[in-house]
Amino acid sequence: MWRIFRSELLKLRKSHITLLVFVSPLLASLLALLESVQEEAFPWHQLLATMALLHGLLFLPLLAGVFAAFICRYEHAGGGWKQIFVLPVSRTGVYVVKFGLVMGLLLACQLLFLGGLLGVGMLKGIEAPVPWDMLGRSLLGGWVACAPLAALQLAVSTAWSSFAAPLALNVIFTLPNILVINSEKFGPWYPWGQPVLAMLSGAQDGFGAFLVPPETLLIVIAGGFALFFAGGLLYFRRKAM
Amino acid sequence: MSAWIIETDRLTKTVGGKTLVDGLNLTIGKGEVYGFLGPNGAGKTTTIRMLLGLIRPTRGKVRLFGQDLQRNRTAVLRKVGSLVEYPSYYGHLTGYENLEAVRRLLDAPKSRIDEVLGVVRLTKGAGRPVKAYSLGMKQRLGIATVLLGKPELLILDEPTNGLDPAGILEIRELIKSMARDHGMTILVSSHLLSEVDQMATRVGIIHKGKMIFQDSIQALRDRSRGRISLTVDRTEEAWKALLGSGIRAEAADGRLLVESLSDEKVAAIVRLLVRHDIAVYRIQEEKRSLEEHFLALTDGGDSL
Ligand SMILES: Nc1ncnc2c1ncn2[C@@H]1O[C@H](COP(=O)(O)OP(=O)(O)OP(=O)(O)O)[C@@H](O)[C@H]1O
Ligand SMILES: [Mg+2]
Repeated sequence: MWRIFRSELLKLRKSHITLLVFVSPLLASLLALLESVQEEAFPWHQLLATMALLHGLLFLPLLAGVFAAFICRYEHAGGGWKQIFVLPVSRTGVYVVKFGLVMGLLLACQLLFLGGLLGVGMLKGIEAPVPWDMLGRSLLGGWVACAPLAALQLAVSTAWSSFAAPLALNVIFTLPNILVINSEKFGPWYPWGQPVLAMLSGAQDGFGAFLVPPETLLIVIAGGFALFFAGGLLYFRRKAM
Repeated sequence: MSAWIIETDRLTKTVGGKTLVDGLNLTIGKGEVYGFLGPNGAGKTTTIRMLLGLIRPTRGKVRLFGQDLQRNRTAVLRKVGSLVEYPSYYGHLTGYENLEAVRRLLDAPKSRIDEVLGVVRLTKGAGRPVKAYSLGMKQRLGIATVLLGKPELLILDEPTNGLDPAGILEIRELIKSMARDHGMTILVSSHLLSEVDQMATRVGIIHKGKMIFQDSIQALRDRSRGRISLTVDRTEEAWKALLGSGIRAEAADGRLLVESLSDEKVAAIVRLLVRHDIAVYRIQEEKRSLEEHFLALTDGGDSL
C-alpha cells in the first residue's frame, strides 16, 4: 500500500491539479470580505454560513468530481492501468490509494478554507473567541460528507475512459443542488448536496435550528459511501484492460 | 510440478459469441526465446493479456512458473516484465520520472533506473517529458520499464512496433542478449516470421485463435524445405509411375512436384522415369522461404 501511495504521489505532484485546492477557499474568502460587517450575536457562525454556502454547495461537490476524474486521467491517457495491473500490486490497493488521495485533496481544501475563514475573521476584526468546536464539526462534517460523492465519482471515472464524461455528469448533478437541499425529504439523500448540508448543520447549531438531524445525515452518508465504494471496487477488480 | 515457465491449458476467450482465442495449449520452457506468430487479428494480444491477468479467460488456465496465475497473481507477476501492444506512459512526467513511478511500485533500488536507461540508450532523453517523445523513444522507455524489476520472464507484444530498421535490429540484439547473458525466458509476438526467425528457439503460430504450429524453429525450417519440380512430357504417366514405387507427387500445370529429397532419391526418380520411357526436360529445386511457408500455413494472412 505504501509503495502504491508513493508512486501515486509522484504522478499527482507533477500534475497541476493540486493548485485547484486553493480556488474555493480563496473565492469564498474574497466573497466574505466584500460582505459588509453586521452586528451579530454569533459573528463566527455568520461568517462560516456565508463562506460555506458557496464552498459546500458548489465547489466541494465539483472538486470531488474533478479530483476523481483527474486521478484516473493520466492512467486512461497513456495506458497506465495496463501498466499497473501487470505489476505485482493488488487492484484493491490501487483503488483504495486513489480514493485516499481524492479525500486527501479535499481535506487540504477544507484546511485552507479554515485558514481563509480565520483570516477573514481577523481582517474584519471579530473579537469573539473562535468557536473551534463548531468550526471543526462543520469542516470535518463537510469533508466526511464528500466521501459518498467521491466514491461515486471515482467509480464512474475508472469505468469511463473519457475525462470529460464523469465531469459533465458531476456538473449536471451539482447544479440543482440549491433546489434539492431545500427539500427536507430528498436533500439528505442527494450525494451532491450532502457536503453543504453537513457543513451548515454544524454552523447552524448555534442558531438552534437546522434542516436534518445530524445522526440521520451521518447514517445516510455512511450507507451511501459503503454502497458506492464497494460497487466501484468490485467493478474495478474485474475490469478488463 | 511441470518444468514449463508458461503453460496454458485449453485457454479460450469468447467475446460476444466470437471466439478470439480457441483452446490454446501454449508451452514455453526455461531459457527459451519463443516466437509467437500470427497475422493481424489472430489473437496474439488477446492471449498475452490473458497470460498477464489483464483479462479473464472464458475457459482454461494459465500457469506461470508452475503456479496458477489467478491464485498467485502478485507473486508470479513480480518475476515478469511485460509490454502489451503499445508502451504505457505518463505524458506529464519525464522519462526518468516514469521509471521512478514504476520503481516505487516494485521497490527496486534507485540505481536500477540509470542501468535500464543505459541498456535501451535513453539516458539523454530521460529528462524530457514523455509527451514530447517519438514513438521509438516511447518504445525504448517501455522496454526500460520492463527490465526495471529484473524479471525472469519477458512477455513482449510486438516490441519493435514503430521502430526504424536500426531500432529493430537493436531491440533484436537486446532480446538475444537478455536470453543469452541473463538466462531470461522470453516470449515475443510478431506478425512477421522474419522478425523472430533469428532469435527464436521455438515458435508458436496462431491463426484465427487456434494454435496451428508449435515446435522448434528447426522443425519449422525442415517443414518449409524446398520442393523438387520435374518437367516431363507425359505428366499423368509419370505421376502413376512414381506412385507405383511409393512416391507421392503433386501434378500441376505440366510439372510434378515432390517434397525435397536426398540426392540419391532424386537420382532414383530420374532412373525410374527413364525406365518408363518418359522424357525428363527439367529438374529444378523450388526453394520456399520460411516466410512463404508461414504465409501458406495461415492462408496468406487473410484472417481479420
Ligand atoms: N474486447 C474485444 N471485443 C471484441 N473483439 C475483440 C476484443 N479485443 C480484440 N478483439 C478481436 O479479437 C481479434 C484478435 O485480436 P488480437 O488483438 O488478439 O489480435 P493480434 O493477433 O494481437 O493482432 P495484431 O497483429 O493486429 O496485433 C481481433 O479480430 C479483434 O478485433
Ligand atoms: Mg496485437
